[in-house]
Amino acid sequence: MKRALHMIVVLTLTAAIIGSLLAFVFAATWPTIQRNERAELERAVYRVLPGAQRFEEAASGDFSLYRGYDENDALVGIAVRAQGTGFQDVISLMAGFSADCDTVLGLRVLKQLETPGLGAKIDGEEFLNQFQGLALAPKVAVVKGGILDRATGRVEAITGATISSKAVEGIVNNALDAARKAGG
Amino acid sequence: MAKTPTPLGKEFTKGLWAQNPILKQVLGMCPTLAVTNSAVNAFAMGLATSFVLLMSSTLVGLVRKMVPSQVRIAVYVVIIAGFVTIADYFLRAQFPDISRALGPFVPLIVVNCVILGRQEAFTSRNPVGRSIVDAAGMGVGFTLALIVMGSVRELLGNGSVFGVTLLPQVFERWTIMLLPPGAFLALGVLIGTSNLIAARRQRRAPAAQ
Repeated sequence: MKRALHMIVVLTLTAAIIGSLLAFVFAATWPTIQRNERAELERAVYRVLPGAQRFEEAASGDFSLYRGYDENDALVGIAVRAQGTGFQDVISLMAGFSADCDTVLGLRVLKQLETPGLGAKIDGEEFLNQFQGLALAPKVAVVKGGILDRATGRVEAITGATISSKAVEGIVNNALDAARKAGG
Repeated sequence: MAKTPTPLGKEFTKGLWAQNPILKQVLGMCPTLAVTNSAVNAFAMGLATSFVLLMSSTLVGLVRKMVPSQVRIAVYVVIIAGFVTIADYFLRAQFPDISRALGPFVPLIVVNCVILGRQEAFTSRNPVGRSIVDAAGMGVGFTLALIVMGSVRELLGNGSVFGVTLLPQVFERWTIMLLPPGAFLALGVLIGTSNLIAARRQRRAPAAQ
């Protein structure tokens, strides 16, 4: 009986001490963690909506939308955060569309775990820059062995990473649907 | 062990080579294989693990005599998990990029057997000062081995070490070194090499043993 009590006291004390230590660390770091996440979000929104000075958050179904406005309070475009399944894991993107949803303004990768050297190139400038100023007629098409054609919305897929490239196409088009539904 | 105390210096250096957690004990393989695809990630993982190991050994060393042996593992795990969470929050607040690169492997330090292993095999039987030295040695040894793994994989797979490009573009990158199979290749060669060196040393200086 005495031994059992001893065990209970020791375990309870350990948990209480570690628990309060954690509460302290949590209180000390949580504001910074949230600030980091916020800063990262802002950086991504401003990258995909060039010229935007401020943005407002809105939701459309499962998507997070960010309407960007310039210094004259005119709508620059809509940034949409969307994700989908890539080759290995979920790919998370931030896509910026013009106010009337007929052009891609910019595209950023927020998170990806594709194959290094192949699929991971979706996070490279060479691939992402293709989307800048891409006309949506009516959607984005990533074409294997194709040639970049901004007027018809055709983007060249990454050699050896068709699945990753196609995944980006699907995610961007889903984001586009969400932006259109929200009435750009 | 307590009857014939080893010098403190040796208690530290044994973690670097003779009982290196990765090369000799082959413990903590999950982070070793998973996060050594770049030298920076390996270094951060090594530091985080060393911090948890050092803090846990200190605390366990201080309370070990008060803890009934039946619940000792539970107490160790609570202590380790507490420090792992602290390390995780610290990384997320101060080094968000590294935290993102390491992903779920920071919380998984909880189940790194190097840490629980040291508590059970060493801290629970030795004075706290000695345990801290032991933990420091094991931590440094673990970190160094991870950095070697990470550097080799990054150099062959990406032509760089710690993000600094060293190999010319002519060198065809061995992408496989950055993928999971590359971790096994690098680990195998690393442990093989360390065994070779150890065997050579023993042959050369049999009198010293």
